[in-house]
Amino acid sequence: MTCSHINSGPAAVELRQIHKSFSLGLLNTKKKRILNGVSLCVEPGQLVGLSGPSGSGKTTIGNIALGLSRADSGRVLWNGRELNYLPRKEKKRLRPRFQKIFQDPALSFAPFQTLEKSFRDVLRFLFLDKMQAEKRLSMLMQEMKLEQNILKRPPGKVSGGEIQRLALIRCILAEPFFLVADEPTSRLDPLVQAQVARQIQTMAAEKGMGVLFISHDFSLLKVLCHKVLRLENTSLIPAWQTE
Amino acid sequence: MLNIEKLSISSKYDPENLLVRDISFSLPENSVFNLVGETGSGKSILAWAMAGILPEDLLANGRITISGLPISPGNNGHPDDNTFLVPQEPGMALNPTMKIISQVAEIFRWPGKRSRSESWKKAQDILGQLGLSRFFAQGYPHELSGGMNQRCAIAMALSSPASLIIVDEPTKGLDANLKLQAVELLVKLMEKGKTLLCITHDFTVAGLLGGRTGVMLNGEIIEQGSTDQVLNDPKQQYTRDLIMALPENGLHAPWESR
Amino acid sequence: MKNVSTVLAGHGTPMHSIYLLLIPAGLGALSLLPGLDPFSQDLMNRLAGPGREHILGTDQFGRCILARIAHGTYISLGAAIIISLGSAILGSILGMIAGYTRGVTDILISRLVDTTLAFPGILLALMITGLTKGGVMVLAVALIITTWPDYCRVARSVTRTCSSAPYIQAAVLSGFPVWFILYRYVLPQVARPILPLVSLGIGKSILALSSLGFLGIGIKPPMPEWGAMISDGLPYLRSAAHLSLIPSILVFITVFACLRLAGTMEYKNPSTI
Repeated sequence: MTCSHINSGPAAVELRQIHKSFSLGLLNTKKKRILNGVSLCVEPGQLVGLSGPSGSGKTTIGNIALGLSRADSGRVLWNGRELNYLPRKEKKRLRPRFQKIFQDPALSFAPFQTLEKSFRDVLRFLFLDKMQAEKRLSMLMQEMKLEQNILKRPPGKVSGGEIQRLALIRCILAEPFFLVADEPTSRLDPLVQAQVARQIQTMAAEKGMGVLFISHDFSLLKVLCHKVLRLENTSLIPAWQTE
Repeated sequence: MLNIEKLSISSKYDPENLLVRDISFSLPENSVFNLVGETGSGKSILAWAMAGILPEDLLANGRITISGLPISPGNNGHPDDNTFLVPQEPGMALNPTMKIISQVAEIFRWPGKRSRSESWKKAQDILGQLGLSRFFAQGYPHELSGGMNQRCAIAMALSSPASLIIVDEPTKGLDANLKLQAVELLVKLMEKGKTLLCITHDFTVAGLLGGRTGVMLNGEIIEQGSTDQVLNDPKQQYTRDLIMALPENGLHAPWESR
Repeated sequence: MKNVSTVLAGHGTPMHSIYLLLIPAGLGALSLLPGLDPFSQDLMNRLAGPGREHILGTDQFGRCILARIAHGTYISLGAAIIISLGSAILGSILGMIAGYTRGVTDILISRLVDTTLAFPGILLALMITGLTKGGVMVLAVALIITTWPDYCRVARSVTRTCSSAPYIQAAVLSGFPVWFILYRYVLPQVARPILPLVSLGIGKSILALSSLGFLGIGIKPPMPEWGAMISDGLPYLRSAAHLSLIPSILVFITVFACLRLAGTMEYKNPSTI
């Protein structure tokens, strides 16, 4: 499957012929193949759904696309440029613009400090102007119907929906080109799930970021995404697409 | 007959602030009570209290009786034999160093007081009924998929002498196919004469199981009734919102409702 | 007394052990007073028992025992603290780097740890003090070299487990530099198991220092030091037992308090990763 290039620009993230195997266990030298020639393309502003049985390697695809883990072979392209050949400086600049939100949002913030501190760290390495950065943060929080004072709490003391929205804000602050949403709603009730999912959808459309939405809930993906892929037996098959 | 009267749970250090407030419901034998509702509204805490494994810093008050026998809610050191909890992540709750068949056999062996060979045979039987062949029964939990671990946990529930089985999110992380399988297993549990308390986010699961349904919000059951009535003709605005927010119904997200 | 019994029974909080540690700490602080000279000899008054002029009596050269004890405490305890803090800092930094970067750096550091661990610590310290002129600092460096691998291994394994945690991944994705991630996000997790180890380490280094002092290869006389004082007092064990006894008791109290401190700190620190 190659990129169709509906838009003129390059894809936010493109994977070409990715192979990946894991070795299981301490003494086991046999390797288990997880991904066998997987190709994937996410355009700016496009939501791509990824479903598949649990343990099939959906998270691994996301991590490879973000450069968090390495593929055995194959190419990863960020904005049309190969990740492995990016100059160091360029990679450092692009790093925060490829983001991820996690299945357990409470664990994606450091448990030993308040949310405010976590956000201050993020802002410290993103922006030069402190005033402008804080203004952006409070604007985003207002936009997502969050109260300012929840930042005073540690991540464990905030409800699941709120913290997942905060995690989304943390990603948006970096103005990402690409976002991996790894089962972001599987621990939330239907109402909060709808809120978070809709928020991701709105942000993708407004900021023009590509989203890889990983979920086992096919009906959710069908409502939310432009196309849905299914990972089965180590390869990706198209499962559904909007007309 | 399961009867719960005015069950409240609070932190030991802050008894005024109730995490679960005045839960009362009852249900006849061989039936199911589905508990749906908000994330963090105290559904799991309620399950822990009923299974007698409440964390030490929480305090439970109230009366629970199962077919007339009172069980003490909370945590008195020895969980009641009459309840069995299938936890949220069976893969994590199973012993990683034991083959699943020995784990199931253990239940026949100790609470059931049977001989070693007999309990192994019974375990084999019950795993077979749930579609886990001899080959998989010899595996360790981490070698099996999430669905298989789920079946193993349900096999343990089936073989335990408990009459009340509490399942916490039995379909979490399962795709549509496995979800149906899990529901079938739960129905099988009821057919074998167990009473079921099913905690779930998933309205499809509640609909398939039938029975009665309660909707929880902020530690209270705000609405309860037969599953049919709650799903098709909800009385409360929150329940209506929940149902409209399902992907099948269009993933509506009303911000004002919270 | 109740305090001591609680600590002995293994209950109590870290504070109880810290009270116990105030005894050697107070003695150490005493050495900073100008009046106490551990070197001046009063040969007319050798091996005197506790009395007016010298509260704890004098040793075989007529030196004030209280002064020597105070200075010995200052040196032994100070060196022990420097040694265990130094090796904890060195070990934690190397361990965090090894656990976080993995790859070649990890292999290099881990093999270095294995090599150091395979070498008998006391022998290495003996060798280093033998090759150099000796002195407290050399001894401290020698003991740091032999003890840092313990901290390094713990720090490395904790770092490895917690570096796959979502919040570390999120930090990586936010573009934080490696030093910042290690300092702000990994260090708090690593500190949990390391802090009790530091306390254990103080106790262990006091024992090591005393053993070396006892063997006569530690801190050179006439500098007072617990181990050397114990061995110096041995010939007079029958006539003037307090020469050896007082430093022995001090070694016992300090090591015991350090071990208990480590124990209670572990108890207070349910590991949550």
